[in-house]
Amino acid sequence: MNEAEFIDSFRHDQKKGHWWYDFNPLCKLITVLCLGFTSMIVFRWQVGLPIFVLATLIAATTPAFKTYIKTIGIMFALSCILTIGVRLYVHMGDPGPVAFHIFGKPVPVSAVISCLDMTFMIEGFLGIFMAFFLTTEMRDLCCDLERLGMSPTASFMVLSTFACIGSIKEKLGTVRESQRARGIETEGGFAVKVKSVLPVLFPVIISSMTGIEDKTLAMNARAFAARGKHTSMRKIAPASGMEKAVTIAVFLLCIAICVLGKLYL
Amino acid sequence: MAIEVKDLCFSYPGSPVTAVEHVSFTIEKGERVAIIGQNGAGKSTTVKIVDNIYKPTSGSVLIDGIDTKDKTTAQIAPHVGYVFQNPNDQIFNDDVTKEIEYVLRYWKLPEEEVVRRRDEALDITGIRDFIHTHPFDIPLPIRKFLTVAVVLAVGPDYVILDEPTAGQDNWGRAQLKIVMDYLQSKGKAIITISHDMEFVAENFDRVTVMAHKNVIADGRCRNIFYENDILADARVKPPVCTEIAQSLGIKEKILNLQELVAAV
Amino acid sequence: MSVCVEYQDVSYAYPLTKKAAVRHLNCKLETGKCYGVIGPNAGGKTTFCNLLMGLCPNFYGGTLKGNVMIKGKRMQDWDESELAVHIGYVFQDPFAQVSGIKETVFEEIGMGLENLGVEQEEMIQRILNMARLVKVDQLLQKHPLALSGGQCQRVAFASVLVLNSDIVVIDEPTSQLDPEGTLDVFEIIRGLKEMGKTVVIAEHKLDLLVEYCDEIIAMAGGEIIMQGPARQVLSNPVLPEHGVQIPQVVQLFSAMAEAGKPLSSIPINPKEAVELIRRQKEV
Repeated sequence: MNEAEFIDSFRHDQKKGHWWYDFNPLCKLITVLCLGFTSMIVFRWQVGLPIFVLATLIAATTPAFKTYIKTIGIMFALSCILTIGVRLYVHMGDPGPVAFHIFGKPVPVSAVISCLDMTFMIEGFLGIFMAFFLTTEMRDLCCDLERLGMSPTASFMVLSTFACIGSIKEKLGTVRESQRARGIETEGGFAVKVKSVLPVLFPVIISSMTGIEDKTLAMNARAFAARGKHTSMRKIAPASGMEKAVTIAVFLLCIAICVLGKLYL
Repeated sequence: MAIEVKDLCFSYPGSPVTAVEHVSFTIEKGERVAIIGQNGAGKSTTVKIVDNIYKPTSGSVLIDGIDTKDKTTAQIAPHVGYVFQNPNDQIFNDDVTKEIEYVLRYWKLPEEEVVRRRDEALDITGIRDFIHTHPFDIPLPIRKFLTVAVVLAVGPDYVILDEPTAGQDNWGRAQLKIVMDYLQSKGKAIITISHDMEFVAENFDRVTVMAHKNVIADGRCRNIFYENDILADARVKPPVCTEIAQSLGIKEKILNLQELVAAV
Repeated sequence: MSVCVEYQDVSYAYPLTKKAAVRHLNCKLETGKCYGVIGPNAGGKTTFCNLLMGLCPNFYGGTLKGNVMIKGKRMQDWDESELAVHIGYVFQDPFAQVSGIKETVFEEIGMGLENLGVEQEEMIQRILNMARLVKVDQLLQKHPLALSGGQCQRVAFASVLVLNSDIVVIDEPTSQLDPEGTLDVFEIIRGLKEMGKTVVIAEHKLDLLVEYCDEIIAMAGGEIIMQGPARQVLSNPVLPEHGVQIPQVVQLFSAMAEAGKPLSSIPINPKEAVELIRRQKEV
């Protein structure tokens, strides 16, 4: 991109050229919250599974699909192990009809169902949120929220918190470099690594904090405290009628699913 | 007994460009060497490889005859000490004495040895007044002396000081001299990276010039500062007294104020 | 020349400390001049700057006695948000001054303007002008944290100067830069002077300060020990006694005098020194 094109890009709304990426961030957030919490509230695989499938389908159309699958796969494996352990093996109460046996222990149908419920509740909830976070830039969301009246200070805090996580990681890297240079073994097995990281973790976080004072001052120098109207260099398209309609439809649908799910499932 | 760097090449992991190319030099124990050159010339990368923080892509580093290739950084630490440019990268304890004692206790040295080394380090760096201050509340230039104290307590034979004069006032410079004299009295080698040519001219007899990822000159301070082509190539200005003496057409090689005054 | 900043018997102590960081400061800064604040570490340089930026006591707390007058109005009477438009500041650590939330240098420089509610087209023009002035126009699309120290410091300058403040306070801007980065910073300072801004710099690199500054304010032990033209202040034998480091060219003056070969005036750069020594030899 040459300079003129680059600068011109700010004159227009930011577009990635993909419907889900460009979905108005706030509408997207509300949609995702509705679906995620529906999965949680109803707590039935009949609801969790479709939401999970939906999330996966959406993710499949984006370039972030690989990351999505990797993370969700790990979560799937973990939640399976967890629920199988808890729900199947140490299942208490009324056994009911037996589905099959594991290591000679009878597993009732109800336990299998509750296992599925748990797994897909988690997968539905996580899946849809992953599909959101992997495709939405926080600054766009903040920009949209600011337009609705959130204070720029709050938006700065949110954004710098996210940025801070990255800086702590980097700082940890340099401190470990210096630890090694000083004669403390950080290379080697898992135990050696953990042993060398633990004592420095807290001081690293503290020392990252000391940077905050400088940052506050620097932001002060940029009229951060100025009252009155703020403008934004990056522009995000305001939610279109269609996007609002979809969001409201999803919201109503979710309420309906919650009510019906609680009553009949 | 020496650091021998042979045909060293290095590129950062994942980076297509090399950071240093075919660097070779030897530093004997007891020497004082200044590495000068522009930022990006490869100075910090070279010393980090000497300290075994990075492994050479090719070539080798021998410390007292031992190849660093098969050693971890931590195993090299008792031989080579490195004071980082930015002390904030190095300090991770919330207490001055704990910071100095950290590695000594890690090595499980006897208590009296820990105390002896700590006290010596505190005295030579002159930071005893700050032992009850939180390291991050100590003014930055003095905080740097805390990282010097840490290295002194470890007691390596080769000490690398990265930009030791940055931000230092007269007190700091005087203290730095005390530290270097102490190191020399113990027969240790001092290697510095510096942009401060007056400091280099006053304290170092050997200068290694780096530019374009390589060593372009290595020799006596007095000779190097009169190699105008080399200095221009490395984008380094000679000490101010040398510059004045050259403009005046003085024949002798001048390095400092006293010599200049005597010569005119 | 009009006075734009005045310290009227200012004493200040940081919170939780008994000892005052600065005592009885009295000085006047004139519009459009460049002032170098020098002195040993912990001599009060930074506090001098912090007082001028309104950070003491607004940000740090602590007790302030006396008045810091900015453009004839007491510091306390200024609206804090308004002050940022009049006084810009840049300090030591280039990377700590980056907001961390903007992905390009271009947006980083524009951040202050966003806060002031400047419209987009004007914002773009102001950013581009400032970027050219501090020579970061080739870096606009880069991520601020992917820059070298010197580049990052220039971006920090641009981000503050774009607000067009007429007083600029700079606290040790070069202590983490190499000679080339340092020269870049001083070139920016020269540009500021040409634009008629009032500049206050706390620095250790006296050889550069004497070349670029109109006046030097020497501080030690929390007090102003001298204020005046660079030559006059630096030649005062009181300075080394207070631990102030004198540039070698200036030291040449007293060294030559001691050797019985006095120079006719005090040199402040190598060129002058050569000239003066030549003249001395002719005598």
